[in-house]
Amino acid sequence: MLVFQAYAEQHMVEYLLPRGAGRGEIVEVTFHGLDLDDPREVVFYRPGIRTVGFTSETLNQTTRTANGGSISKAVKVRFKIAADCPIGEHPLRLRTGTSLSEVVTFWVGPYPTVKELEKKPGQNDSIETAQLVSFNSTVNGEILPGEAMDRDYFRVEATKGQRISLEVESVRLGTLHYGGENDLSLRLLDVKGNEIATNSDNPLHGMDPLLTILAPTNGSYYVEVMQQIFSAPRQGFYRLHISDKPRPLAIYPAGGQAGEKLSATLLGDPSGELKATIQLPNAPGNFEYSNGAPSPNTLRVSPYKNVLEGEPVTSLPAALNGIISSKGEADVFSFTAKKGESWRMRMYGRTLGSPIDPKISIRSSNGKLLQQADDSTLAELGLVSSRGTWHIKDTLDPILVFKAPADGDYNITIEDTRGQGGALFVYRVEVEPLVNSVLTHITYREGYQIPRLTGLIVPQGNQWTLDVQIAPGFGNQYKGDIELEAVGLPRGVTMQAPRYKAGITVMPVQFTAAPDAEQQAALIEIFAKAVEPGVKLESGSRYGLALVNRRGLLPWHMVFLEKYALAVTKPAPFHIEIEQPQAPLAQNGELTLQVKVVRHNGFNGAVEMQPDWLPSGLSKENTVTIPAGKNGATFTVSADSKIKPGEYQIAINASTTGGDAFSGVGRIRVSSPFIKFQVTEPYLTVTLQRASVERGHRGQITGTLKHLKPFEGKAAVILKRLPNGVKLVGTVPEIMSGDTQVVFNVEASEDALAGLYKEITCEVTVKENGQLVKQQTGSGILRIDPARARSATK
Amino acid sequence: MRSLFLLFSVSTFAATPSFRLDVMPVFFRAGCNSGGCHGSASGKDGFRLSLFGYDPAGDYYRLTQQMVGRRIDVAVPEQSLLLMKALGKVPHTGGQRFKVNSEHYQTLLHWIEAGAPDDSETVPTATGLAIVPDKILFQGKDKTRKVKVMATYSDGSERDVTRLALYLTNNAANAGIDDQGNVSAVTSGATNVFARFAKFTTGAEVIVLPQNSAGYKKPSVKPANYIDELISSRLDKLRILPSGLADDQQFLRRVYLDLIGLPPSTDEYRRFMASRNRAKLIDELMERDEFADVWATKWSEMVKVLGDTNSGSGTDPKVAQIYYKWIREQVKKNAPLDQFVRAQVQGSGSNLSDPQANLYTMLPQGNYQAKAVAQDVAQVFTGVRIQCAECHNHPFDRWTMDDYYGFVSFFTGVKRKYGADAVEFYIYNDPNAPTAKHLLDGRPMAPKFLGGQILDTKGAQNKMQDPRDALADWLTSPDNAMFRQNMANRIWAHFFGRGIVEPVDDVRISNPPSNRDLIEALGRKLAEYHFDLKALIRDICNSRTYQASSLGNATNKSDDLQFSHAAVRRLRADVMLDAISQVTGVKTTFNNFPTGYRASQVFDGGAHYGHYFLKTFGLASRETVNAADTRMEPTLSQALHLINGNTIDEKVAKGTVISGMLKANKSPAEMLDELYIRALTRVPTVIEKKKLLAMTDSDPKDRKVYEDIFWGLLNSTEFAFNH
Repeated sequence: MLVFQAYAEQHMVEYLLPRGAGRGEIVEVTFHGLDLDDPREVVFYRPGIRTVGFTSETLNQTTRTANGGSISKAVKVRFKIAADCPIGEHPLRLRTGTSLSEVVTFWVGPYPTVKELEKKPGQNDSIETAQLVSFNSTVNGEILPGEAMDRDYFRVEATKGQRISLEVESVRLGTLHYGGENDLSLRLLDVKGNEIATNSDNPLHGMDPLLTILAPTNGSYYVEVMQQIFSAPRQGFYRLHISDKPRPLAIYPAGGQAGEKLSATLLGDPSGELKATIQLPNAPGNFEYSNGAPSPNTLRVSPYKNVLEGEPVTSLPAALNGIISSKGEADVFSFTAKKGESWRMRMYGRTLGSPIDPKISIRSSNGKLLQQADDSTLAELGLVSSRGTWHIKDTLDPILVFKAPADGDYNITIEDTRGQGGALFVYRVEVEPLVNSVLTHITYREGYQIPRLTGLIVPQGNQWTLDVQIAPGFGNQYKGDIELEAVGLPRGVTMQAPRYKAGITVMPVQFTAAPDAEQQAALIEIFAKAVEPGVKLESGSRYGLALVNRRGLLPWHMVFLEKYALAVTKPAPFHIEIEQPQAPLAQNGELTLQVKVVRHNGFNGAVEMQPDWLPSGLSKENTVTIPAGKNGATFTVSADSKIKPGEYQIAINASTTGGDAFSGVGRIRVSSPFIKFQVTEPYLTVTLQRASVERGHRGQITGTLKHLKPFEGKAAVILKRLPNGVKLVGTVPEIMSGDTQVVFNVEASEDALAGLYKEITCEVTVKENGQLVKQQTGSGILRIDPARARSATK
Repeated sequence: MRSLFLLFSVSTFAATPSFRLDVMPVFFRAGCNSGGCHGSASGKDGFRLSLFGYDPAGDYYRLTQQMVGRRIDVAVPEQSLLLMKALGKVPHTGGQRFKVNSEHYQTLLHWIEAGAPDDSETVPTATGLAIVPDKILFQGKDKTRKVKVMATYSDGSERDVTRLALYLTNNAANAGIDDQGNVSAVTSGATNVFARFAKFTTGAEVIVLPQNSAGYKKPSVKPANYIDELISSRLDKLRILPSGLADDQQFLRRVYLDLIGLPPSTDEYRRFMASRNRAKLIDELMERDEFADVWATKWSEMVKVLGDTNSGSGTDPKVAQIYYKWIREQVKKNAPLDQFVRAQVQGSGSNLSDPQANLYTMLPQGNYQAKAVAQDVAQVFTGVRIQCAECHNHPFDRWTMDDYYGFVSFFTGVKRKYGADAVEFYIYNDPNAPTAKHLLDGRPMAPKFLGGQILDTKGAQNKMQDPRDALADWLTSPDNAMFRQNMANRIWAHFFGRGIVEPVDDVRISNPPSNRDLIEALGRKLAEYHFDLKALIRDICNSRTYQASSLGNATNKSDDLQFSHAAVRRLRADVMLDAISQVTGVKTTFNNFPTGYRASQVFDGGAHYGHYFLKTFGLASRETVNAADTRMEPTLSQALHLINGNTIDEKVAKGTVISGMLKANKSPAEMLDELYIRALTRVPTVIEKKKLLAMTDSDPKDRKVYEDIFWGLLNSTEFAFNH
């Protein structure tokens, strides 16, 4: 299947083990993958983990992965996890001397880690063989591969009334890029094997199960972990947290004002509601609250005050908080607005793990429905680096812009779209003024991580070019030109970004590392700036990636990052340069570029040129290879008929051969410096008259010329896309500025197929400033007829 | 207003014939508006009539307005193309339909002579149809009998439409009917003849007694329960003698295969043969987990439980499994069938946490279309196929387009959307969604129960309610004969290889039950039992009828409708594979299932994914709700697979049944008994024993010989069939 093959790709790092550890622990981590020689650094996106001592090795045997990749190398390094390390998912990349890996993840929990002891399926698959685990520890376990279904049993000793909270990370571990469907379920059994509680999916953690109960009696309890639906396990790793700490399933209110001490209710605990006072940080945004639970609850921090269900909305902006506590309940908040005022309303319900599927309706005070919103798209939520087939819980929360049609009072109604309700159905609507915002993102169109297409890897003294896209934030009004600004670039690295004219959303952007830029990695941000003076844009960087990719392009776990990682690597063994073209490129024309390879340190290998990044309207030849030992080649780019005339800049990317061409794993890549050239209107158009030719005979095709722009000297004109068996004969016609007609002599062979042939076109070659400029024009029809009977005298 | 006398005196016209009452029936009777002729969706040779006359207004327009002065020529009526064509005077693909002196011709001619008028709005419409007599018995030398067909009208009048009705017979081998309503006996048996007029079909039962039934005497067989009483009453009517009881071995094998989808093990065989308590065994088997597997699989086939890893429509294998598990749990706890169906029809919520809502992911298997779901729901839960009425009134049943779009409107409020991830779908009711619109005039159709009332959706309270709640109430009510009889009939069919209405999902007037009293009684009993599946199965399995031998007698050999003897039925694909696995002691593995699963536990069938054995032996693909999707007919490829394929060969070779017995030093006779009991639930006959033991004479320890015998048993029709 085509779709499947497109992802038959390779990765530098397929996965790392163990999949996580506890705060304060030191753990040896092994990266598994390809092309892992010369490891230098692990780049973490979050604080709290330091690394010590790399070793790398080639594995005895190569393992194939489900997506066509393979594993032949390993890198070992120790992770020192700080006692205050943030808990949860830690995205990271591995930098080697020559490359920077894809993002993979490592998970940190609050409890000490216990290893599952099972080595062969069946060793802990029953109550009798359950492994004893103490409370407040985390098991690093694995559903072992095999034809039988592996079940893992763990025993805890609890006293009556003691809380037993169980929580699993497995889908979210995203151990494999592709094919790691490891959807687990949990059961808690008593000593007789009776099921006390079970969970497979839940609103807080999606497919990863969790449950929390109070032990009914003193005694042994058994935790069963198994696949919810059998799927031949591949790297079926999981982390099982077993604790007696509260595991809030929702918190009300779901946020507060920056800096405040929030009086909150923790919901979902088997002992009943728990009260907590939570110190919120001063910075608005998401705040992760945990009071001993193995994963945090996310709260919202806003610059403005909360309004709780039942309180009046005295002013906006504000955050409206409530619970849809019963089936069919509708909560209503009233506010006053002046005509023309616009407010952005963003719902936080399911985003924060509430079971709600909220819907917002806005009505005028007389009850007229003005606006309604149910679900949102990832792009509307600012997760612009994503694919249309990605589904995450956040999109169940609506977002809208409300513009008051008149001065007056309005009602906001919050309901569950499905008509459901319950104690955990917490929601929060943040009502804010509109801001202009444009986000930048680096996204391969299929949404997957491809180092060649989404990696920022720049060899010292060289360049790298890739597409940076821009996307408007929700409610953005600014439509003008954009320029980019990079923040956090390492010393010696610069970014060259063209201006994004209004309407343009993607452009090639080039990063250059000076020869003396240190080899290192950095997390950088690229911000969009308004070119129009006085316009303030909010901006941010977005990089979204999918782990647990599956058939149907419906992955199970997505990671959204707000920084890009850039690595300066060892000098590449070559540079590449494009000779500055002197001639322009005509619309619907071609331009042949001279490309030069400058080899270093005895590098003599072949070099592949792949200009992946071309402005819209330009297309390219397929990969061109400069053979070993050669120092140059030509490369042809063509413009379509719709490209806007003006100045363009392009660079050509080139790589060593070997490794994997598509993903780029195992290759060293550089870009040429940008060159600039003009795209112009064509010199002339040729209108071809309809013509016919008999098999075995000659005929003529006449073209009428219309000059648009003068050229010097003579231009050669040939016919292209002639049918098989028909060729141009005689001398190639040449035309001069001012000619009105061109005549082509053609000959059809005896075995040319009779019929009507469309889309015959002309290629005009003009010499300008010593360079040949090619242009296509015209669309003619040629009929091939069978030979008619002739008189015998012929 | 015309006098009714004149209006209905078709043969002696003194006044203008009515377009709807007189002219349209001519098109119907003469076949003009049938699907092969002008009733085809695109018409025929440039002229279109609505199929079977579902759209009189449209037909009137096309006749009189579409080609003015040509089809109908009121100036020279005889020159109307309509008449010339019908008489075959001008080239007509359909040839001559009637003659100048026929009533049909005269009706059309008089109508055109009168100016081809349309009817006034008050024209009465047909409200019912009766065939007189509705029971016909041919006995002795009787050979023909005439029926009369009477139509009733909305104004209370009645009319003899014998010459306008269309006739058909269900089984021309038993009895035929001509276009004048003359019924003729052919061979002995029971069948039905039908008359169709306007939008109604009605039937009469025809019984043809055997010529030589003079010596017939009603047998004195003690009925086990009401089933046997109704069966013997029916058989008596037909002069058919029931077969005797099956012996204990036959019964044992039959009831195991039917109730738990497996043959008995040798231990189970011996235990039963020691007690021979049939009723106790039936009760025991119904408590087995495998009983739940059998029915979970059957219901899953009906509602298309099918997983798709590539699914963007909420039908991931995980969802299929969740739905299957829920269905199985319902069977296991013997949830009443009305509640089981109600939960699904009302289903809303998440496809993961509200498994019963998956009726609305699995039936569509892709994009949601209210029409398709309505059709499936009707077919599965009432056995009625309403799809014909999407485009025209049902030609052989009572369903009209109003019925169809009214029923569809129960499902137009169902909305679906992605839930919290790529696998989850939400199913919910949108009270503001528009109802279905009638195909002809686009008018919105309020929800209407099949053959019942229009749902009152006007009140503010009702407006917000999910019409599926009312649908579930109506559908699963004990008073709903369609539902209770459909359920009873499907259960019955499981044990007899055919329904009392067959196919079970094609209930229509023109496909009547072979024993109406029985299907009604079973339906009533099911309702009385509060839709307890096991209670009805208990009745069925304890009946003499179920326990009858499959051997026929002179009077019932040719009967395959009246359950006078047990039917010989090929094992279902999954049952056969599980039986082979159990008998050989070698398990089968299924793609994406861990070891140890039986075919009847594969939650989404397995045939769809190309499991060769299951596919070849006709396991339902679950791509449609049709009962016929489960194919039971024997085929050449099945035989070839059993003989040459790897299923039996491999399992016989891999298994330890024979080596185990050899190791245990069993005698050849003991081994032969063991193999027979394992495979066929019986000991070998004296002759079999003699012949087969002779094969072991040269080397009683030769594994190969026993393997050959074992292979032979598994390849016998006795193994492949339930008898």
